[in-house]
Amino acid sequence: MIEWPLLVASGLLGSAHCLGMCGPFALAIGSAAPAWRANLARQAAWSAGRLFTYAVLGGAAGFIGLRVSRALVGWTNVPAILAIAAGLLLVVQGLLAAGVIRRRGVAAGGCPGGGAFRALLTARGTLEVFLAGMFTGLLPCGLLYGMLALAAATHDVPRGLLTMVAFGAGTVPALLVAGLGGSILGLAARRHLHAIAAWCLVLTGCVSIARGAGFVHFGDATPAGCPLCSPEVTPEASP
Amino acid sequence: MAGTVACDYCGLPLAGRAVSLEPTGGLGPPRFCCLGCRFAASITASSGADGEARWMMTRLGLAIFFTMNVMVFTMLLWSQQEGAAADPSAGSRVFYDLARHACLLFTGPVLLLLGGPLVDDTLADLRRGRIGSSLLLLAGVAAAFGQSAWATWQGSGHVYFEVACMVLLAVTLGRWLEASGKLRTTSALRDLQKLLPDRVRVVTADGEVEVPLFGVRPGSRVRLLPGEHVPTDGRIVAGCGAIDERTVTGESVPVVKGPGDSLHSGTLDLDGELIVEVTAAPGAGTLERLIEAVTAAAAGGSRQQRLAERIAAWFLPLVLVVAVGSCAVHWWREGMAAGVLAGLAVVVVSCPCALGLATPLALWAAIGNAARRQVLVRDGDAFERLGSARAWCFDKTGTVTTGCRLSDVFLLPAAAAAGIRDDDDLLAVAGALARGSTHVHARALVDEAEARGLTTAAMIEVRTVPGRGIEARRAADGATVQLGSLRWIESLGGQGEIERARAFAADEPQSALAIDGRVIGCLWFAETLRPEAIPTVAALLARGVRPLILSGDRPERVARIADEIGVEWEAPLLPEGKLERIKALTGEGRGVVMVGDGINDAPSLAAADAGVALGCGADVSRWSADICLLRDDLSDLPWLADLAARTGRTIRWNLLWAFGYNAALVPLAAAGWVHPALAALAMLASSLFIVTSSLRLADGGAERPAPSAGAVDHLPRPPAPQALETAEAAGAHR
Repeated sequence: MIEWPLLVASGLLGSAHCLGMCGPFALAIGSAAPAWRANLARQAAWSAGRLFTYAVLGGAAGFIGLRVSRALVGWTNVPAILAIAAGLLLVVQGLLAAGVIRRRGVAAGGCPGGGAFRALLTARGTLEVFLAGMFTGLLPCGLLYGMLALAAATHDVPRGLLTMVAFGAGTVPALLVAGLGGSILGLAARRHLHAIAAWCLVLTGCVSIARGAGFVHFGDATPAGCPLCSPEVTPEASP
Repeated sequence: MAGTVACDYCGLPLAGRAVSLEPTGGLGPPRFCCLGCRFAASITASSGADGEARWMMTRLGLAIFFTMNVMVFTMLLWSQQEGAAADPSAGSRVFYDLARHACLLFTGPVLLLLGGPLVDDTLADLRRGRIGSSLLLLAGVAAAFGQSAWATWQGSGHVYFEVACMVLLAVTLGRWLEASGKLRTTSALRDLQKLLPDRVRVVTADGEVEVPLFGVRPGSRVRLLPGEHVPTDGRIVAGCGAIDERTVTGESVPVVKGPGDSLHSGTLDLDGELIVEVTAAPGAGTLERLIEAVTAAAAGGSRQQRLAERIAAWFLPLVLVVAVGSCAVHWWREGMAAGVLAGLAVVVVSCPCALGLATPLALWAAIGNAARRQVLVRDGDAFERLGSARAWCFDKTGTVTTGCRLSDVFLLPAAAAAGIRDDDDLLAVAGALARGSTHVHARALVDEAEARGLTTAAMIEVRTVPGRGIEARRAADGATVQLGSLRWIESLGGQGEIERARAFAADEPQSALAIDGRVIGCLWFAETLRPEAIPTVAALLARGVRPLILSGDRPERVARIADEIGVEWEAPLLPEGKLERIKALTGEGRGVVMVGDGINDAPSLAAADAGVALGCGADVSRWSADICLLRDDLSDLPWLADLAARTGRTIRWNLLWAFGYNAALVPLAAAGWVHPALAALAMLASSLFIVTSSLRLADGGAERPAPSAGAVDHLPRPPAPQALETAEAAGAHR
């Protein structure tokens, strides 16, 4: 699949965005550990927690995709439409992150669990840190939603799960380093990386749309196939 | 608080529930208002205060972790089901068995982690001879788990591990969410309670001992150091200090107090070391009574809340009947598993908590928010009505206006003979006399004399003539000087001169000064408008409200003030007249708010749909209004109107949601169309909706706009005047 490297890249570059949102958590986790080795274990546990949540969410998204495509089994273009929808969502999220589209401010409601979450972040045990990572994975994040749409488009539980693990793995290095040594990237560098990450997301979305469009079935005409990942398809057939 | 018992975790009253009414006082079995509070409290009790939130999250987090694993394996099982049916090969069998055993392995810890509180709740229900939803939930979870474990052991049949996990998790999470939401709505009041110290220093003949607050008895003497809060009501025996009383009176300017002065609990000793004789037992002080009044208001709830509670009381048995019926029908038609799933889905999806919480949570959050801004709500019903009231009546004196100033002076020919050449000379004499009184006119005279930088004449033998004025002798020449009401001075023999003064101005003069029996001059006063009155009225008008001044004062004076702020007015009205007017407005069905001072306007405050009082003073037992602006600031009114309107909207939406949600989903679940795991998620979402929409009322607007310049530039005032003296002097100028 052509997306795997792109997924990891999205995660890697998306780290710039993650550092803004999740970086403070990584720092908070690091602040409770005296030595760097202990801190490393904590950071790893935290990231493992996040990856676990991403994986479960990806599996669920894949399952929902599967159910949708099975429920609409009589409809010819379901996988293609799913891929296109996921791609569009990714593009929108990318454009939002890049600042091309502006979103309206969201009114913050009360979060009854906020205090307890803070308590977990600074807890001494590795288990608590893992759980804190699990809850961090549930934080609303545009990047995440885009990736989940992609996971749904796989319409398969294991593949959806892996999609999210690949994306999550990409976010680990930056957060690990941030948690270990404070911030390695300045604000300006983060902004640049954030912009690149946003466009990377748009690119991933475009690939998904192109794949979907390649599979769209018009009447008796054979599907064009994916222009990127189906080398056996002749160039003339692609739209 | 008589007649109500609070939940031992969140502090919310258990009103309307079938529990005995004697307070536990920390003894006896703890009482909780719901499963969530029981769960939260069980965790709190099992670890130290510091780790309570942490351990609760760990337990919930672990349960979520295991449930997520179960869900992944379940989804794998479901997605492979069709393929496996077509391909009964050894490979797919192995995968099948592995996935089922993994589910079994992960479900066990969830039951262990979260089952305890549900079992406790069920047992508590059974001991009270009731069958509640806990029992059915427990039975459903046990059946789902038992059937699945048996199927796994046998290697054939359906498994429902995800049902057991999701139901248990969602029920616990939903109830915990509600409990912590309730805890947050009461946090404003708990913050107030925290102002009282835990331990106090009691001074005895032998020295000083530190005892817990509740060890103090009336009559004991307590040493108070600078920076400490007054633990309970008392009287200063020795020492002197500036006391910050804003928590109980709203007064932002510290008051200097010395021996003999009384102290309110919860006030702050800013700079003096004081020995205080305790006059009220701990728990009966000013602050505690204040908190109790607000708590009682919330406990009383509102009309809508009582209605919702009555419906909820019917709703729960109805759900149980539907659940059992649905279980029986599906069992008979499609087998045991389908019956248990359908019944469980009904119990899980129904959200009686949403119904029961929709009103109280919103009301509590709003009342707590108001308390944080020192707006004390004593009647939840009145607070709800205030949001929809369209007519706002204001008293004039002391409500729209604050104090007064000297507006005009008229010197009579006799003045020159008494050595008074101009207004300043007259003020120097009048100001000196006025020092002995706290009447608003006397204060205005003193202020004016000070503003003009006059050296007031020395007076001897100053004495107050009750109901009339002040009399003294001038130190310089021994002349008798009298300052007081027009009628008094007239009666002393000066009608002719006063007639001349009457001809001078359209208004009747309010006071006169006489020296040696001859009238020297007449004085006019004008009320000063509160600086915030005009913006407040404008803000109310912008909300489509009709403000109206009802006053007992002379029409021309009322008209002047009313025109200045641009509202309608009616005057002169006797207290009975105000009452009639308010009743008439109420009869028109527009909802009437009366804003006045708590003492003189008590009847009209009580007659209005909502009575709002300014300057209620510290003693809550003497308040007559439904709502009290402790801070004595009208600009709280538009904010309060908004909060009340928002609260009303939130309550209506919450109730609509609670009814709509239950009406839509309970029948679907009874029909067997809702999987219990989905039902659990729906219930969780419903709880989340109610709690977050209510909690939004707990924040917002607590921070105030910057106070107007006039409100801060006060000098520290002398000790508060005695009520008696004020009453006497008030009569003096009538």
